Amino acid sequence: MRLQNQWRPNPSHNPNTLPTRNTTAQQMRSAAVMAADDGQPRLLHWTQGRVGGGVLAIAPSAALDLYNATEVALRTREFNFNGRQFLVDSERSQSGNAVGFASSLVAVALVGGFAAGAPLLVIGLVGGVFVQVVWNWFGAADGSANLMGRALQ
Amino acid sequence: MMLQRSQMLALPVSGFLMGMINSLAYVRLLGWPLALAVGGVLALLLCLTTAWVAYRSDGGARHLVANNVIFALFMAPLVGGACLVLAQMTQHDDWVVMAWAAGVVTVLAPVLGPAWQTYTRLAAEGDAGPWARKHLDLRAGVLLPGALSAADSPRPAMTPWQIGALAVNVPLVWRLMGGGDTGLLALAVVVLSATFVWVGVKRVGPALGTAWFVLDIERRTGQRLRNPEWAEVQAMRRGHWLARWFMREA
Repeated sequence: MRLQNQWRPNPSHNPNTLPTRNTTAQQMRSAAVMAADDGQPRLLHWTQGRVGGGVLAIAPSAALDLYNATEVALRTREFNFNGRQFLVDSERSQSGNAVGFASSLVAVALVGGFAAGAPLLVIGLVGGVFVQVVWNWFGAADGSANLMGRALQ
Repeated sequence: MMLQRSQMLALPVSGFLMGMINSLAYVRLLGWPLALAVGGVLALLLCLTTAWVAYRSDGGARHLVANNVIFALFMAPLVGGACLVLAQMTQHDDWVVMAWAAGVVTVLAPVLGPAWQTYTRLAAEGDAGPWARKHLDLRAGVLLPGALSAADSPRPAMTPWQIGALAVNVPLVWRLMGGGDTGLLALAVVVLSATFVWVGVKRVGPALGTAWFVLDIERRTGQRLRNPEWAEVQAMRRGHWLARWFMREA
């Protein structure tokens, strides 16, 4: 297995290191780019696919809703999970997440024809943010939460 | 290649969806039925234009013009709608039309200005000018590589799935930090407009000017200049299952 810090100047016990004194800034930069290419994606590889994207989109809100729906009584250590509140809160936050995620994907697919690189990323990102904000502002998020609440009654 | 295989389906579908998504911003102003109707018309136009690009385009100057039409149909209602919603959110209801117009102009002006500038520069050079000699082969009737795009851009390092995941977590973090929707939308409008101005000035506008110049030459010489990759693109199209209905040979 290759060591992650190979490109760094003189870590101890690593013979395959760039000699610090003779390294130009450009060499260091290229070495860093190579190392990033080689090492980083392996750590973040699970985020590349559809499943990873879905997890990243859904999980943070789910964690927050889970936290909000859980009550722990400090004295008795009694643990109470309010499943109904969790479902209603999830409906509120995840509906916005789904809409924002979908419109972000759509924007990227549409703009891919004439923009690439950073502008494409920004358009996809801000497009998703914009649609989610409009969704929440209309009360569509609250509306779907109410629907869920009524369904559970 | 100018067209990816995955775009044969993704382009028309995303064009349609984006048209419908755009109508969200106009609901408060027009009411649901009218907003959906306008969104539907927009979706249909976007779908037809993107489908033309995917199945019928010869990759020449008309391809670039179609790309510009897609850009305008997608971006102008989006930024206009974002400005409109921002005006409504901050209760400046007298200014909604003005805000919408400002958004539309913000998208269109950076395209039309550079397009006109590029066209006049190329027209002044003429058919035998340095650009035409480097990029056009009038005898063979083809555009040489690099004629239609200023420079090849690298693919984004992030996949669409990662961008989407980031897009939904930005508002979450913003809200956790105590930010309101108005502030976030104002920021989004600024970033979105800045990006569109950059894309318009850097890529879309000059491409439109170039296409205009090439169309001018085509009209004068009476021949259609094709993309050098056209045969490859046609071969790729033939292999797609939707090509049987939408593609046209020759």
